Amino acid sequence: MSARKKTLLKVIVLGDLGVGKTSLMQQFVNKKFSHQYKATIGADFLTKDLTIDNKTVSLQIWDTAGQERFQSLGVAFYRGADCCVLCYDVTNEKSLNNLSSWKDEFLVQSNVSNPQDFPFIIIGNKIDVDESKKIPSLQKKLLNITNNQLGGLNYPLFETSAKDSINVETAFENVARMALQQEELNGASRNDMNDDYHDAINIHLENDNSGCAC
Amino acid sequence: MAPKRRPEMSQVSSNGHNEFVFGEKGGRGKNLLSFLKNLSLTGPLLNSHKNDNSEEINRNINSSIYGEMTYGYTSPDTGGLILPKAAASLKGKRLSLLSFFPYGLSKIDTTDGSGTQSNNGGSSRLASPLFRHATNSMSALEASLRPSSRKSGFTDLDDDWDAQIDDVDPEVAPVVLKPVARSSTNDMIDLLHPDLMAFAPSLRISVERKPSQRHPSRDRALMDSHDRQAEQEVRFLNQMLTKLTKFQNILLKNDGTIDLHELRKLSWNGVPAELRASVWQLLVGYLPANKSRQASNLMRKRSEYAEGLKNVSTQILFKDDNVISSTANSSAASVPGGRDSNNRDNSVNKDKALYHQIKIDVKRTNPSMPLYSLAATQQSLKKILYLWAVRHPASGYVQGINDLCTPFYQIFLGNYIWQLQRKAAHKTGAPDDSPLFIPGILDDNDTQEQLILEDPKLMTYTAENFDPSRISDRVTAIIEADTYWCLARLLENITDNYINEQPGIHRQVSDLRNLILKIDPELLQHFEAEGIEFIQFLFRWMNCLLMREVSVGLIIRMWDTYLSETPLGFNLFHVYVCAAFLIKFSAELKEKDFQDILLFLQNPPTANWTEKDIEVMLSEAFIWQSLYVNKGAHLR
Ligand SMILES: Nc1nc2c(ncn2[C@@H]2O[C@H](COP(=O)(O)OP(=O)(O)OP(=O)(O)O)[C@@H](O)[C@H]2O)c(=O)[nH]1
Ligand SMILES: [Mg+2]
Repeated sequence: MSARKKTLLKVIVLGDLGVGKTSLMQQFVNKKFSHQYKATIGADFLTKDLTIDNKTVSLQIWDTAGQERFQSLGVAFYRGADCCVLCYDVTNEKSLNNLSSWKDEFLVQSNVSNPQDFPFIIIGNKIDVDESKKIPSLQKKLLNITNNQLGGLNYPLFETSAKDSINVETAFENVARMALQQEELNGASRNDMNDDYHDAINIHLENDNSGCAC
Repeated sequence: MAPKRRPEMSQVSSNGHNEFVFGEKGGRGKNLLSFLKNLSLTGPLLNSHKNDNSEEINRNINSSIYGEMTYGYTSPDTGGLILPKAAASLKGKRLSLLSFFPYGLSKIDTTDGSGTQSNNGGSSRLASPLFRHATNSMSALEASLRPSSRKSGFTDLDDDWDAQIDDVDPEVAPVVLKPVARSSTNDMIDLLHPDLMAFAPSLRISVERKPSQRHPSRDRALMDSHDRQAEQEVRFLNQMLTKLTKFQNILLKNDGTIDLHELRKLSWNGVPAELRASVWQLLVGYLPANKSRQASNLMRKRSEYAEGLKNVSTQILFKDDNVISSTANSSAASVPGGRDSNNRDNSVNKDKALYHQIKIDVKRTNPSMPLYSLAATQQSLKKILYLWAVRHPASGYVQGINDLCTPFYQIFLGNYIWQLQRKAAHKTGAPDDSPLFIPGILDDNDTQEQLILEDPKLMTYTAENFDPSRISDRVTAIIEADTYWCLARLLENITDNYINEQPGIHRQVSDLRNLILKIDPELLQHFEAEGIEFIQFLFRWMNCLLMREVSVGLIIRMWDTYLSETPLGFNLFHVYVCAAFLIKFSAELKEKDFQDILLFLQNPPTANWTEKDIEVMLSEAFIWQSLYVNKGAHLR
């Protein structure tokens, strides 16, 4: 084991309910798929160590809930993110169309310093399903969404199956690589701190304690 | 009104232990005493009511069972002998033994075995700061309970106590304690919670028996393990019977109105499985306490549910996986006027999205229990959740409500099976216990019901091994309606948890955080140092009422207590329960860093928990609520 401190990378996974975020994370972290995952409430926390370009990194992943009602929670989980994964379901067109609002929501709540070039990545999941079930003329729609400079979703895209473990590893290696870049960028501006939580938390506490002086 | 600081009841922290101080001279005993009063009502050998006929019966049962046990002992096989004799001793009582244990007596052995097994683990977990402290202060309390010193014990009380508790009437102080030294936490629990001792491996009897009834020559220390097991079985049976008798006395009281206050007091400590469906319906306010109104009320509510469903299901059919919008296209086309049809289209789309969401979630509901992967179950859940969501547009369907639906569903399904079992047993001459049935469920003209009644395996069925597709549409609708209304009542208690922004949950989280600040400030400090935010793990605890952290069987036990709280405990009391839950792991958590804390709290080690662990947690929560209930200002 190296005495050097591992680089912590914080990753947020977003996307509509049921697109398979939890299944993806289970496949990536625990190498398994099950139909027994329950709906995510709030967000689930996972960790995974990876070696990227000879560097050991530790991913801290928040697998968030897709339901709209939980979106106000975002701020508790998005803060300090180094990369954001936007997921859709290749059988569900609405989940594809919602990608840009997930992105906007993330930028509003995470308050990242570089919204213009913050690393996002898009994952289209469930490619194992029958062609007939997929979104009609999916490739065309995807091109529209990702090439549209105004829509602003010009990001790397991976098509995966959490069920059959297709492309999951590759996608998240890219996530890690992009997160690492972002972290190094951010790290330059705050290299004195050994983690990035204290700041935020203290502000939070002051607010909370203001209620009662006893 | 500025809240006064009361140093004598705030936590004192020293050496990493946080302890409650119940007053220097044991003055806090008043609170603990009423705590005892509350907890001990279902204790097997306690006389909580003088001149109560039920107590007479209980004593008879007790003495005949204990009689068999203590004096009738002839062989290591005693365990096998007790059961029939216990049954015999019940002849002429309202219910036969079989009616208490419709699933057969072998089940009791299993329960007993597992209870015994986990007891060690259970008691070692009792060493929470609160209980460690409470053990210390118990000697003072004990002194105050002993008849000779009871009076002075009470005059010592600090009347300035401002927690909301019932005044204790010394006349009904229920516990007669053996004046022995108590030091272990196990003893502490024995004292606080006689029920918890059901499976205790030690044979300590905490309640005085008449010395003359003791077998003079038998030395307990010589009893071999068979004897111990037998005695545990007897105790377990004894407790269940006593408990049941108490519940029956309340439920079958002749004056026509069930005393809900008494029922709550009793149910707080757990409701017998067979009576749970009706007791829950009473506690939640669905089944009227006035018996003459029960049948008609239920009929009205059940048809209201059916009507409601009829209105929504013209747009959504629940039959299969595909969303079939039976009238959407045709009606939109037939309604003249673009705007109108647009509106209709929109609302149909919204309904479709809602249905889609519920469909996905129902598939993911409690997947580890086979019942919930059955098509019939899933269809019922979809209907219930969908109707609730469209009828409560301010919140609509929120993930987690699917979880909250399941305890009601499986209890009511189980109740139907139980009623059928009782009915089948009646044919063979068992006493009729139909007065305990929820009205309006059984029907001789229901052909599917007759088929189940003739099933030779009927007696082996429970909600966990029965396929609800065998049930008639009539009964399915009843179970759904009852589930729907009880769920609706529960959700009324926590409306703010599911509306936009979920302010109820945020309030609960901040209350809990402030509670931890009082109870275990070091844990809070540690969390802050590690960058943990309470919302990160508490959100789910609140949104799903710990249903993701604790098995459904134990959740059902928790709900006995929640439903006995007034107002219902899903809102305020739940915060104290979560505090107790968190603090249970305090020592471990303080050793962990950010990552490990979150991973731990996301998957807390409750797999081996038994009802006893839950009951200890509920008891701790009760104490904290008593301490802080009037201190909203402190919590905010
Ligand atoms: N065929 C197929 N089904 C999948 C795949 N991934 C997930 N699913 C199924 O899609 C459903 C939803 O999966 P989850 O992983 O729970 O979805 P989620 O995005 O985490 O949903 P929320 O937690 O509610 O936001 C489940 O029934 C999964 O079995 C996949 O790659 N292929
Ligand atoms: Mg999920």
